[in-house]
Amino acid sequence: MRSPARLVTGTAAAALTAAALGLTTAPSAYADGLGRGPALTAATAAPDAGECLDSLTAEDAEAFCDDGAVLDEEAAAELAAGSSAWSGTGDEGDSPTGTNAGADLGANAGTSPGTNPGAKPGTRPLPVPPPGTDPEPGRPPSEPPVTRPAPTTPTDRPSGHVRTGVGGSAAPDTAQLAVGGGLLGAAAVGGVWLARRSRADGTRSA
Amino acid sequence: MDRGTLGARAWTAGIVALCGLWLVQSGAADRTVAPQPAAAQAFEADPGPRAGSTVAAPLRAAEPVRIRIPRIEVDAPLTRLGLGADGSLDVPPARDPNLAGWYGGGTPPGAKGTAIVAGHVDNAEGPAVFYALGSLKKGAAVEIDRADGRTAVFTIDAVEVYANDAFPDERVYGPSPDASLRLITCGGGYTDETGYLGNVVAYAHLTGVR
Repeated sequence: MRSPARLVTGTAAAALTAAALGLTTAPSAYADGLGRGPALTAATAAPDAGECLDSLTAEDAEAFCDDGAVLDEEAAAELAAGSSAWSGTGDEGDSPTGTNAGADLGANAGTSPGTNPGAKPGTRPLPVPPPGTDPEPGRPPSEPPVTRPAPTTPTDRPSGHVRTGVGGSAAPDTAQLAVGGGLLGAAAVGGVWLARRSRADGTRSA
Repeated sequence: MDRGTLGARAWTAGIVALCGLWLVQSGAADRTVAPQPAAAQAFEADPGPRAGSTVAAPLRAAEPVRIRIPRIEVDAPLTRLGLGADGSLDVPPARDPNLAGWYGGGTPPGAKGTAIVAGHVDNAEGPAVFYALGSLKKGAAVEIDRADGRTAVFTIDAVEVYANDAFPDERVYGPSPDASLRLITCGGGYTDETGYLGNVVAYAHLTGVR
């Protein structure tokens, strides 16, 4: 088991590396890895503290080795992979953003990875879906290959019932009801009057 | 007043009374109940093309523009639908009673997969485009005009009705190896408190192209 001091050293190294990468690569790359990056690098960086990493660029290595900071190969690889995975998303920012982000990470990573206020969940671009799963009809028409997966995937298909009715079919027609009621009333009054007249006439003629 | 005049007036009063009765009776008619599918129109087993029916090869994807169901006199334009915040299918604007919608995030009708078309059974003014969907029978034709100038002809395989809280997502929205179509509207009973209690779903598959 490592001493807490060394763990912190390793964590700080990873954090600094991340900060440097944030300077030299896309800020989105950094932001992307933040959710899990610090935790992973903290765990993986510690065991191999003490060596400088060959695979880093000269500047990177200098930056860290001068400070006595060290970086594990795995951690570097992870960071590099993380950055390259998102470098093509077109979200490249300017370097001040990267600097700020890096500084935030350096300050926070040792104690509370993942609490960096710069990391806003949901702000990174959505992953590009694997080819073939996009059922967008707007793309150039092409005969679907036999092996193409079903166009509807669980993530983008609807769920649940559909609200396709308001129940307003043929609500009572009040105007028609009023006219009908009036006619009925008139007929009743007329009928009564006629009946009385008829009876009166019958009495008289009898 | 002689008896002849009295008799004529009595007849007039009677006719007026009958007219009034008819007006009151028809004006107070309760909500029209949309036809609901009979149990015989349901699938006997899992959804799929009916035995013996032809299955046409799927078309390339193209935007649908109009739907016709001659058997129930449906002839309506199609609008594109998305998903609501809760993941349920959006519905066309209820104001226009003669408008249906298709799920634009999924398979366009005629292409391989499960295309979804929804329409209102009614709106505040009365019956709407899919009012008679529940009266469709197996074998009825559904035609969908597409932006590529072709008409995809589907044949009804079954018409089923589901309670809202038992809506079978996989059965209705799940993938299909053919060019399948689902027509959805409200049904399954109605109460003033909860509105419609379910959905009527007509299942069809592509059987021809014009």
